[in-house]
Amino acid sequence: MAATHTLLDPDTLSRAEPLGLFARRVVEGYRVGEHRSPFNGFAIEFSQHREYSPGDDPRHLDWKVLGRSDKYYIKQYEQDTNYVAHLLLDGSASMSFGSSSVTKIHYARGLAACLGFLILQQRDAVTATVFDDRPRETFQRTDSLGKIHNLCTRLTAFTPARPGNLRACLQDYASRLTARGIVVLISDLLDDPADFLQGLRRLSLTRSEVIVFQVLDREEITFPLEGNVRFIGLEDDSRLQTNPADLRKSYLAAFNEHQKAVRRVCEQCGVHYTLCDTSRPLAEALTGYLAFRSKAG
Amino acid sequence: MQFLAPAALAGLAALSLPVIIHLLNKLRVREVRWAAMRFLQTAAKKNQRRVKMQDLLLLILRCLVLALLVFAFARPTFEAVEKSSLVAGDPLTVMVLLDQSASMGASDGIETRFAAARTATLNFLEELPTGSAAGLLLVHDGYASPVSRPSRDLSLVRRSVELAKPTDRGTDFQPALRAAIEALRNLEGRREIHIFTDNQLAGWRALEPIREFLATAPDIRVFIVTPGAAAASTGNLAVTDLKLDTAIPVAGQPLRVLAEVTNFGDTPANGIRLTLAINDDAPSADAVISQLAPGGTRHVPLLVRLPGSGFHTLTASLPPDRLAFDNRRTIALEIAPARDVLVVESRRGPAAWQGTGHFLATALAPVEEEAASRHYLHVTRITGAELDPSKLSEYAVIFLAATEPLPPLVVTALAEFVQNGGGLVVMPGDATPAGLFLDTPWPDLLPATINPPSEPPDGTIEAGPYNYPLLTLWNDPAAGNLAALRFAKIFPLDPVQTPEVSTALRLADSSPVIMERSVGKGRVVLFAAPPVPAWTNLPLHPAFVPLMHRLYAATARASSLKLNLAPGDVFQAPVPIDQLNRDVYVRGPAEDAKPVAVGRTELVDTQAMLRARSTAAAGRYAVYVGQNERPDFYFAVQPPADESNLKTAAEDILTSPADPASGEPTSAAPAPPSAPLLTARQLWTIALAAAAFLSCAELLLALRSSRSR
Repeated sequence: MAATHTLLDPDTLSRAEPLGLFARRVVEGYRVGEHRSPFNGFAIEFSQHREYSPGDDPRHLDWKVLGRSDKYYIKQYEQDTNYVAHLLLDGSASMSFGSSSVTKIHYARGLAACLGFLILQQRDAVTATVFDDRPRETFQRTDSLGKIHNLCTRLTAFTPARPGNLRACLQDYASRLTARGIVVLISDLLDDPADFLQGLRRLSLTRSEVIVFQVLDREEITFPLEGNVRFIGLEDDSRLQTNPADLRKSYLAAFNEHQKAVRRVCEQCGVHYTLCDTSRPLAEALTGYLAFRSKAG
Repeated sequence: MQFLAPAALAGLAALSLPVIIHLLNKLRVREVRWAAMRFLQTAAKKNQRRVKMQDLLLLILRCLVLALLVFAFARPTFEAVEKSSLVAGDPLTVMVLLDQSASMGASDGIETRFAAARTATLNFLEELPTGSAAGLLLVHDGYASPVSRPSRDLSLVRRSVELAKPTDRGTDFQPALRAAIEALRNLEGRREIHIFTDNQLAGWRALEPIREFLATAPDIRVFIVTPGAAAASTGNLAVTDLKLDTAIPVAGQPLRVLAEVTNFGDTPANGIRLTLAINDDAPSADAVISQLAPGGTRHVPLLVRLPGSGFHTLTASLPPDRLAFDNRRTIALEIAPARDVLVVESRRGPAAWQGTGHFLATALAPVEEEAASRHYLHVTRITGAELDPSKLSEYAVIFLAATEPLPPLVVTALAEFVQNGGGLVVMPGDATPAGLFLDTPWPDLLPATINPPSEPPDGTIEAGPYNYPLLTLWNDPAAGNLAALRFAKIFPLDPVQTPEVSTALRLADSSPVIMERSVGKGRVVLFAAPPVPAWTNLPLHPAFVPLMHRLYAATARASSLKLNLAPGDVFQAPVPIDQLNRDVYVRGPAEDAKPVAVGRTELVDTQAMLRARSTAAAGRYAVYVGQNERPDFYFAVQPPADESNLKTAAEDILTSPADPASGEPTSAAPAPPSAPLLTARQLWTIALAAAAFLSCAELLLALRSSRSR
């Protein structure tokens, strides 16, 4: 319960709840829900006719057409279903960086928990995976809001320690996706944009809707450090001693170039991209995105 | 190179400060675990080398700035000062020579050489060790001695330096150096002479005598300090001469004035406008010199008309440049009223043309008979028999034009007339036996012994150019020439061997035909032939009229007033005896000058005289006696022409054998004299300027590097 209290921010939830997270595309659920299904069923909204074939349930015969034309037609209706949201959380060592008490992994956990809560609350299903160079922690699919505590506990239990491999993880996950749903990727995306592109492209082929949240620390964005600093890599043992002021301009140029490449990859794959600055409140990033999503349709 | 404050060199230890700070910065490291190492490594790979180079350059610049500051505080000088007593700190006995010649007025656009030298002198006096004594001589073509002998009252010396002003006088270091050495010769302790000057080459005309004199005092050291001399521009246009080129200046008649303009610069000067003003009025004549080559001189004739008789000044002006004093040059002149001339002749008949002085009298007053009374020369023609010895003093010049023998009484009167300043022109002729001139007092009057007439083998005259002032007019081809002059018969002249005698014109075979002799206050000019066509074609030659007028001007009883002075000369003029003991006021050449009392008229012998001594500045002076509203006299002071040449001598001119004409050391000259004559120049201002420059460079580089990273 402690983990739930830590990750689920009431303010964020109260602001995000009215917005909801609805599927933009058709999704393949496993029960009736609020989202359009790719399958035609027998519900309320008429979709089309088709010729009767042996084995069809005679209850769905269009008797009016039979009476007028003496032909057997079956009435088909659109089917609404629920969706499954796949929360992919980057748990590589780089996510453990934080210039304040809020590290990137803290922020990402909170974001995943809030999204999970919102999705479960609207009776859709959630599954979550934490990965670094391969999937490490998996939370099985559930559509029960009561399981949110389990989700929070699993997310909190994971500690980033290894280097990541975004491309491999995304490709692996895409290969295991069986039904169209919504994939939410939460990562700092500090890998090579080319690798990211390959992973994202593979994921897009599943025809699932993909949403990317890039979580970055304020210091990574502005590089405000001063003095003589020895930098030690979080994912490898590389070291560099320098005066950050000497490299600031070049660093920011390289960083901004990388950010442009990430956005370009997302645009190429038709993916919603949201930058989350850990120095800003989570509610701001989440509600901002949900509002944009509800407006964009 | 040596340092006046070597203790300051300890400050070089401060050089370690930037290095220590640099190293401390390197050592003070904090560790940061960082996620985005990829971008950092990219940036480092791209910039690290440049950053290291910039850091190193900044470190070097900072060290250099500190080093230069320490260097400046240590007061570096050329090694010459090594032996100066300033370093030792012992009391010093010094004579300071401050150059106040006209060339010190040259400016570099900010300050004049004199201002720089005065500042340097004051700084030098400030630095003298405690207990030192100093004297001060102001150097020009002579010297002034505000503090003639070394005094321990340095504040008096400093005050004298502050009060010193530049003059328009020339430069000659010899008198001041002699005086300085004499002032130091019998004193004890370390003795030095410091000359603060622009080291103008013209000041070392007497270099060898100076060296010889310095050799007599080998323990007195001489230092030449040249503050500001290098900075000042050496380009200079100057009016180097201005003179009247008209024989007899007359009011209302055109006067030809010849101005000499010289370009002392290194580049040609174009479109030089020269103006001539009368009495400081607006320019009344001008001329433009299209181009003047470097080192070139141009004589520019200008025509003006003076408004009336009396004193006048003419001022030639050039556009302003960095050296002001020689852009203007003024001459003063006095236009006399009409003068009387006496022509004594012999006559063959009653008609005027039958007189031997006919051509001469006509040339002197070449106007119609009715206009002769209005002509500025009143010519009286008489025969020798009519000559009244008591009336000779009424005439300015007396011409003896082939006159008959004169009575001894008249000859004696003529001798007295010449002694008192009169002009006598003797032209022996047919009626004059050569032996006549052997009798006293003729031998004391004439410049030559006159021999019996003969026909010269070649009657042509010598070819020009002519150096004698009477004939220089014909050096200008525009004024004609004397080549056609012929002498058919002459009285051969044997010159008297005295310094007062000179030959104005000779025949081609060197026989003198015109000679001159100064006798007392007057002059006697002797011609070898009378002015009649039977002897010479001179009376028929176009040059005859101007020659006779110039002859008149050269021999006339001229005013004894010397109106054109050199700077520093004393102007003196006689005044009526009733003006004795009156105040004398002089208004100088400065634009805002007002009449200043300079003394009183005084009795000299039996004549009341006025004297004006403050003539240091060049230009036009007006002299007032008593309460007169109009000036009684004008006179002009003309600066020496060689001051305009700003060429400086080598700084070691006293120690190295040098050709004073070129300023370049001559290789074949003997070894330097024994006196350690050295040149001192402090470099701290240069070091300070360099430190400031490097500081700016460091600031800009730091700013630029912080922006580029």
